[in-house]
Amino acid sequence: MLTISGNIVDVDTLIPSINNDEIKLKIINIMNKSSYTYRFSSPQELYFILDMRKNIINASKMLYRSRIRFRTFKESECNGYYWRRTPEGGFLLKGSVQPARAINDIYNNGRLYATECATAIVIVYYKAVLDTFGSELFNRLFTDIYLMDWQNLSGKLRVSTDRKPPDTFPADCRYFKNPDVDPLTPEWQGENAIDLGNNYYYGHGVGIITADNIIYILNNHRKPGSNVSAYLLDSSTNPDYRSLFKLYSNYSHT
Amino acid sequence: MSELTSLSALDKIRADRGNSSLSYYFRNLLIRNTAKAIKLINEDNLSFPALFILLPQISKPSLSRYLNSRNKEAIEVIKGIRSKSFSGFSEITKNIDVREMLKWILQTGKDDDISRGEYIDILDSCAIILVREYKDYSMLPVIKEIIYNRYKQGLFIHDLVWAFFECRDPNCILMLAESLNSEDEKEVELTKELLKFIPVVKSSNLPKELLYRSVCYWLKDNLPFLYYTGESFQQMPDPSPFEVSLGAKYLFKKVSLDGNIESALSENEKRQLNIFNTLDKNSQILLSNYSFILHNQNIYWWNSWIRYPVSEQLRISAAKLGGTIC
Repeated sequence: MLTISGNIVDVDTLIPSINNDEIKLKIINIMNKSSYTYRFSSPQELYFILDMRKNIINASKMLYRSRIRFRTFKESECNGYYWRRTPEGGFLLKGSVQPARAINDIYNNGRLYATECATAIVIVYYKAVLDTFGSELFNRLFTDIYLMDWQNLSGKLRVSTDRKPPDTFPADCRYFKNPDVDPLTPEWQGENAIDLGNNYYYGHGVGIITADNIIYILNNHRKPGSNVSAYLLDSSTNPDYRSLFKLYSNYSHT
Repeated sequence: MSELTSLSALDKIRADRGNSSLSYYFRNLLIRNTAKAIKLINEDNLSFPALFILLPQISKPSLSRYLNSRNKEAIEVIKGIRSKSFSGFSEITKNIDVREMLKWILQTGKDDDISRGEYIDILDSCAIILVREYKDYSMLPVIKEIIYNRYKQGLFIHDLVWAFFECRDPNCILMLAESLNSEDEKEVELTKELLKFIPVVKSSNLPKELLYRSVCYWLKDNLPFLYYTGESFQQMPDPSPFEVSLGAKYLFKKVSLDGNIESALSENEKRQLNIFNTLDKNSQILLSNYSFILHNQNIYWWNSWIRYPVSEQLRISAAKLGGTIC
């Protein structure tokens, strides 16, 4: 079920506002059919979250096309004009550059960058926030970006994992776990992948493929003799959409 | 492997003059006095970092046949790790005592500040193989030391942290918690980060001495019910490598390392556990905490309480614990 300001929403009334967007419609329908109640403070909050999820999916597809390469942290690479590579292999935004340009540079000059799968998801999140907030607001708010898997995220972009969500949605980041990973390739211990809403997932290093194919690839990186398959966990990871909405609402008119 | 009692001659040169000087010195010595070079590289108390720096020179066939067995085996282990496949590693190292060699590499390589990618890779791989494949946990204190040293230098630690927790033994929490008492603020900071899955660490602003004691109490109370989840920093922002099995705590049953209740359950216990599993998380925490406290206070009262309907158990628990969630 879906409520706005405490009132149950007739989904049909929302359709004109989302321009029959297939992904947004799918998200609304999942909420509507769920036994869990999805509560929103206002229609704007709901539309913001739908925009963010849509932008996460678009940012995933664009990052795939950018030709950014897969490397472990020890071998990560970045464009030194915008980012400083830290000793642990993360990318720290240089103080002299605009955050929006630095994020867009990863998309425009993907070949200059190489990192592992969790950092790629964080890049996707920043790009989705940039596309939702616009460059001007993004440059004002996100001045301290550090791209290093899930850790050290800016206080303004919080990310959390729901270990047993009532439902899963397009744009969720899902985790494919490889419990019997080859000990010499720990980077294949699992794959973070964005649900693209069409039975395909984007995972950095594996591309845009189905869940079965991600499992197939992970299984090829198991230790010898293992018969324990990789599998998709129930959990889902997402940016804190509500805090982002508050941030957007508070600053977009100032 | 012999204990290191003092620096080897080559390690001393490295300590005094640096890595490049060591490399330069050894290259010249090989030309001027090959016998001495071989004697020095084969010294019992040579450390792994010195061997690693001189690897390009000692791996040449003309010299490698004069190396002692420790050095030959170390080179084989490095070759195995470079194969990037455990089957390749196993094949390359099939004739050597891998476990002892991995320990030597970790033990003598732990203090080093070589931040080159491959050196870090080798130490990580040794730790992962030793803990995950050989189930040898004797080097956990050393692995912990490397993690903390690297953290202070801003180096990558996630694979090593994963290797550490792969011992799957909740007692390793205590080993980490001891660093809450450290004088070094960076060590305290990292310990809090690694243990933030423990409620008292996540939510508390206690002074570090009290925090250490709180973690000890938490561990003592929950140890029989803790299991390994396998969550890692690669997987999520706030991994929880160990979780309390609330169902096991509620029934006061010990869990195995994979989270399953070890003993067989009666039909009544199975039924109660099924109902318990349908409750929301807060109610589960309330019931499991109250059950634990009551069981320790008075087993007879607990035996009566556990037989009540779950709704009644909840009412009593909320009344006794004030509805608070511990």
